[in-house]
This record gives sequence, structure tokens and C-alpha cells, in this order.
Amino acid sequence: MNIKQKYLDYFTKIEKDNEKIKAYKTITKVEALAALDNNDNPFPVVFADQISTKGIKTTANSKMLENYIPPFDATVVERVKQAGGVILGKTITREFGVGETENSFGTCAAVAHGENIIGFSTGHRGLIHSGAHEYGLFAYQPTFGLISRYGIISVASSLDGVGILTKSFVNISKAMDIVTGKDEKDSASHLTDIDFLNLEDIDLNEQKVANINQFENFTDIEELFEKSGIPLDKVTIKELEHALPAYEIISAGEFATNMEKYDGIGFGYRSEDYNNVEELYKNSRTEGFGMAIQQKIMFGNFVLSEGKYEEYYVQAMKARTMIKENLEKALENFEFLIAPINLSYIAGLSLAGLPSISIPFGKEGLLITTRAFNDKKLLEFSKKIASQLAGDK
Amino acid sequence: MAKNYETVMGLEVHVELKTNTKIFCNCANKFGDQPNTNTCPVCLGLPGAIPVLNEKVLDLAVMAGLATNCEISRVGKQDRKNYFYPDLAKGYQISQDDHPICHDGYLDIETSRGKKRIRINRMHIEEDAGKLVHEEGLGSLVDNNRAGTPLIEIVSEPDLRSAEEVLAYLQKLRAILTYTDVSDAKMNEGSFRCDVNLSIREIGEEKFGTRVEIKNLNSFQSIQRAIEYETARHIKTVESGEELIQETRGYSQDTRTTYSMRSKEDAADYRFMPDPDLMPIIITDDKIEEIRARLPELPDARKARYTEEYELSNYDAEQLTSSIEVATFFEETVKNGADPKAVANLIITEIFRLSSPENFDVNISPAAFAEIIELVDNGRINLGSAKKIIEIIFENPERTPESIVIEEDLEQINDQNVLAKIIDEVILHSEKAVNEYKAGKEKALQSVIGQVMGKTKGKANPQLTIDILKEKLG
Repeated sequence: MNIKQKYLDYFTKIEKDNEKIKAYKTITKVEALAALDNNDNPFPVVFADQISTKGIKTTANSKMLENYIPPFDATVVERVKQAGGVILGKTITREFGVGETENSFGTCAAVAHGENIIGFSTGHRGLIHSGAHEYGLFAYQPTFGLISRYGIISVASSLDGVGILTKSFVNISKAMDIVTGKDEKDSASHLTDIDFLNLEDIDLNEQKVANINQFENFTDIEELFEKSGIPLDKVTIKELEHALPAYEIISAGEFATNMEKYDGIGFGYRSEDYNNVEELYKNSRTEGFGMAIQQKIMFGNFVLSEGKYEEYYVQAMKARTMIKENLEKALENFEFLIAPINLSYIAGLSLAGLPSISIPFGKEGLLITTRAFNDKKLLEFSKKIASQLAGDK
Repeated sequence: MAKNYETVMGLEVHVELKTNTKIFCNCANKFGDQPNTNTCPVCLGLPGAIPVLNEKVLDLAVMAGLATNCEISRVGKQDRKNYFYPDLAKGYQISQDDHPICHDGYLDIETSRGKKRIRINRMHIEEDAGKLVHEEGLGSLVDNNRAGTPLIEIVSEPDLRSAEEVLAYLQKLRAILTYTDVSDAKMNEGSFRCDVNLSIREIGEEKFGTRVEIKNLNSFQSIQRAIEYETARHIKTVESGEELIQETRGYSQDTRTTYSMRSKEDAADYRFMPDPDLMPIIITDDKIEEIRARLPELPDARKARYTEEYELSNYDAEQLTSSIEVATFFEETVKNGADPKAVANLIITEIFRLSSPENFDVNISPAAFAEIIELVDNGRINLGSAKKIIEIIFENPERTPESIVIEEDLEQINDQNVLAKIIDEVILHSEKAVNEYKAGKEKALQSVIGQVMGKTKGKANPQLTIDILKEKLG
């Protein structure tokens, strides 16, 4: 069967099932078939609808951007396309990553529904990990700065990077090999010489691993480590109790100002009902944003407002530094930290910009983290654990 | 007895930096192009397009800081200043809140009351907004060519006490910025803009009075008039027992008055926050030293050199060094062999009449200018003809002084016999003035000289004319 037919069949399947699985916001069949021409190495990918795609609607699943077609590709998109990636479609997200939606995990649904798809998504409040857990996928959030943010519709700019969703480690390696590397368009992006393609086999028994000992319902993973004979220490990071509030405050502040550009002037939704520019702003934003967005903007503006900034935002930034320092301290003693998929913990990792990978396991899932830029070792370790788990079943 | 007040002022000066590209993207930083041609996703604020700081902006800011005796920060950050305005695509301006690039500097100014040091509180980098264009029939349109133009804002301490001091400070600052090639600093093109913070208080009082900020000041003249108007308004209000309101006021060139724009209560809460798209700014000692080594000769040093090397007066040297364009024009003319004092005189009396030092743009080459001075020096033309030639060249730069002298018949009459004949005739017809002069009224001679000039179409050698006249009228 030729490759084109394979893709055509798959599109027939998506079109039939999408109503049910709620994966795609926009199915890009025409573009995908065109991308197969003169393509020696086609591979299927999906991008969350929060990642800019040139000439293809990018709506952040919001009425505000319902007709917005970016004139440029996000750096991740550009690199994936260059490498032969065939975009099947744009996947459903929460509105601007935080609001109401028909499916919080559209990218997960698309990857789970297909065979060999690489999904790219952003994960506000650890959504990619909880989504991956629900859909039985691997979710990998690289160290902040490994993947360019250019073209990702900003939600909480310092917290939410692009993450990768797959069914296999091979696809994680492939994706990282393609999308990492310094991007002049994002000053946070890092030059890296990590060879993601060749993951080495490592000996689990020689790794220094600790279990974050402050979350409940984590007995099955302890059992697994014990049964496999992998040494597992315990560590408590008290400061993590501040992670969720700090995350909420910082992300709301960043979110509120990131949303200021949606004013109905240059692009995006504009209300038809206005008599002056003040009303144009107000009505466009009231009609264009869902309620959850408006609430988060209100909260963000509150924590940034005069008098409250010191009380909330500055405190949250201090907590962020403290959490980062303590996580880094723990990671001096242990190369890997493991925990269940827990909101507070993921918030802490986001605040610290640390990499994390989640493996579908048990009731609570398994989340593994390591030092910043130790991503290759993280993948090697997680891959081994995953295969151990698979063998166990 | 009427009370004595003093005006207390501090300035906020916005300066467009002379970079090839904008502050956060690779769009051209150019004035006067077709609307929205120098734009890209970043300066249009499209979703997901994020800024990256242009390193040249830092260099120029550090250069400006060093040239104004500022401390340079080693670590800086950039902040978002949030407000809604149609010319602000992102809904926030990227500026600097609490960690400016430069701080604690000063400038020395000279006024009729002598030397004074004006302290600079801070200098920070920021981006300019776009521009609203109001078109008949189309309503208001946004031109984003200017969006993302790099600026520095220079904030002085409230050390200024008079319009004269304010203008001297601005002129000195402008001179420094043009010398260092940090900016074109053209007020008429908006690359050098000034807001004045003003209050009054009784002399001897230490507490500041209620302050107003004056905006829309487009020329040195507007600044002077606005300061005078506001000072008078403040004194009148205070004297009448009324309360001043802390507010922002605009200046209207038409009415030459200020008007209320918004009061303090209406002021926006800008909700400053660190821009998460941008990384911290790090400035190394090496960088600072490298820039320091590139600092050119600054206005004060050049002024000192002019008084020493060319023996110019303090006033003349100050005038000539007030902008790099003027200073360069002066030096180039001197290099062409003209006498420095003559060059200085003719620039200050004639060229400045045709082109002010702050917008210095002359249509005459230093070589041609030197040639004119040479013509005066060797007596071929008089000063009046020199002025005529300058004006002609301003209109027609392709014409040369020599050809103008011949074509316009401007050659000076230096022949004693020819002049004596004309003077005899004039004396004959100016009985009244001659008698007045003889009666001791020195001034009467001017009218006689005027007549000689009229008869010679302005070509008479003035000194020779006076000598002959005095001799004849004994």
C-alpha cells in the first residue's frame, strides 16, 4: 500500500471518529497530502491549536481567535516540517490553555487514536502529564529552554513550554532530535549538543533515585522498585507546599498581561457593538473570551495591581526561587526524583524549569524528574523503567 | 510684600536610538516610510511572536550613560508596562521599572548665572509605540512602523530652576547624544522628546509644591513658553488661596497655554511585572570598558579645546559645540584654511539665522563657506555680500561663491577715488544728517553710510567708507 493511501485511510478514520474522540479542532488533510510530495521521510504529527502554523487556523480554542490564521510558523513547526513531518491537524486544547473546552486533552486523544503520531502540546498546570496518564501515553516536558517558545501562543510564558506526547520512546528521541537547538527568535532557548537519537542502555541498580515522600497513594511504585531490586531513597521537599499558590499567582499575572493584546484592534475578534474605543475593548473581550479566561485575567490583574504586587507577586517569585533551590539541592544527592502525577509537584517542577517525564502506571501514574539539561539521562532511565513495567505486565 | 517663588523642575527625556533595526526584532528602524512596511509578527504583537533584545540597544544606552557620568548596572531586567491604547499592539510596553541600565549621573550646564550641575536620576531602555493616523472618511488608523523603535528615557533630578536652565540642560544632553552617535536627537522628527515636571515653592522652602507634568512639547520654544505659562499659573493659583491639582497637562502651540489632560486619580495602574519572554540583562566590566574606550571627545572637552586652540570666547565655543553637526561644520571650514574667529562669527550670526543649531541642516559645503570667508578676508567682498552669497547658496547649492560674486556683481568697491566721488555726492544731498553729525550726533553718520551703501548696491567697503567720511566731515 502506498504511503498516500495510508494517510488517506487514516484521514477517513479521523473524520469518522473525531466527533466521538474530540481530538481535532482543525483537520488538515489537504496540507498533509501536499506535504507528502517529495518527502523522503514523512512522519505524522499533530500540534495543539495553541502552536502557530503558517496558513492554518490557530485558535487557542477561543472565539477570540476563531478566524486567526498566523502568517508564520512556530519554530517547532518549522523544524518539524523541514524534517518531513506531516501535520494531520490542530488538536483541541482548553481555551488559551486554561479555559472551558470540549476536551482538555485533544492532543492526547489524537496520539492515542493514531498509530505512530508525535503530539506537540503545551501543558498549563501539568495538563500534558494528567492527559498522558488518562490516555496511556508518555508525556515529556523538556528542560525550560530546550525547545523554542517562538510561535507558541503565550499563556504563562515562564512556565509552560512545549511538551511531547507519544506512545514510544523512539518517537520522543526523534522529536527531540528535530526540535531542539538554539533559536535566535527566543532568548531563553539554549544551544545544546545532546544526542537524543542514541539513548544508551543503563543499569537501573546503579542509579541514585529518591521518592518524594510527601504525596499519598504511591505504594505500587515502591513495590515495583523493591521487587526489581532498584535502590530507592526517600526525600521530603517541604517548600513544595507553596508550589501551587506560587504557580497560580505567577501564571495568572503572566496570563493577564499576555491577554492584553487581544483588544479587538489589530487582530482577533472584534465586537460589532461599540460607540467608542473603550467599548470596543470591553465588548470584544467580554464576548471573545470565555468566563474562565476572564476570571484568570481578573485574578492576574489583582496580583499585579498597585499595593498587591508586593504582597502577592513578589512573594510568589520568592517562593519560586526557594522551591527551585530546594529541588536543585535534592537533585545534587539524587539523580532522579520520582513521584505520582501530582498538581503541586508538577507546579514545582514548572516553577523550577526542570524536565519531567510521565509514564502510565497504576492509579496515580509515575513522574520522573532530574537536573536541568540532564534530559538524555532522564530519557534513558525512564525508558528502562518503562520497559521493566511493560515486562511486568 | 509679594512672596518670592522659585520654579522647581525635573525632566523626562525620550530619545530614539540610532540602530539599524528595532529593539526586539529585525525590522528596519526608519523614519518616514510607507505605513506598516517595517513590521513583522514581533512588533505587530501577533500571538506567540516573542521579543529578543537587540544588543546594539544596550551598547548605545551604556554609551549614553557613560557620557553623562552615570553608574552602569551590571544586571538589569525588562518589565511590562500594561495599558490599553490602539497604537500599543501588545497591550503593554516593554520598559524597565526598578533596574534601569544607568543611574546616578549628572550634566554640567552653563547659563547667564554661571555653571551648575544637574543630576540624572536614571536612564532606562524601552520600546516606542506605533502611531495613530486620523484619516478623513477612514477614521483612525494605526501605523506600526514606529512600534519597537528603541528609546532611552533619561530622568533628571528636580534640579532645574528656570527655563534657561532647562534649555541649557536639553542642549547639552542633545549635544552629548549626537556626539556619541547614540541618536539623531531631532526634536522636529520626534527623536528627542521632553516632558517637564514642574512645581513652585517659596524660596527657602524645602518641601516640594504640587507637581504637574507637561506633555506635547515639540520645540525648545514650546518648552520655554510652557514653563513660563505654568509658573505664572501656579503662582496665581497659590496666591489666590486655591489648591493646585496634581495632574498631567498638555501644551497647545496655538493658544500658547497648557490644558488639563488627566488628574492623578485618573492615572492608570500600569501593573509593572518582569517580562517573562526576556532574559536578565548582564553587562560585564569588559563590555563597559570596551564602550568607554570608544567614547568620542564630548562637548565640554571640545568647548575647552576651542577656547584654547582657536582662542574663541566661552560663549562662541559653547554655541559651536552645542551640536555635533555644527562643530563638524566649523572644524571642516577651518580645515579649509579659514580664520577660526571669522568662521565662528559667520556661523553664529548668519548660518544660525538660516538653520538653528538644534536642527542643523545646511546647504553649503565647508569648502564653499571657507571660500566666502576668504573673499571677505582679502577684501573682495564685504560682510553684507557674504550674507547674500550664503543665502543664494542655500537656495541653489550648485552655485559657487566665486561665480556669484561675478554674476551678481558683488565685488567690493575698494577704490578710494571711486568711493570718494560717490561720498561727495551723498554729502551734497544729505545736508541735514551732515549738520547733525557735525553738531556731535554720532548716530547721524549711520544714515549717511546707508546712503553710500544704497548708491553702491551694498558693495562699498564699509571701513573705507567710514574713514573717508570722517576725513571729509572732519
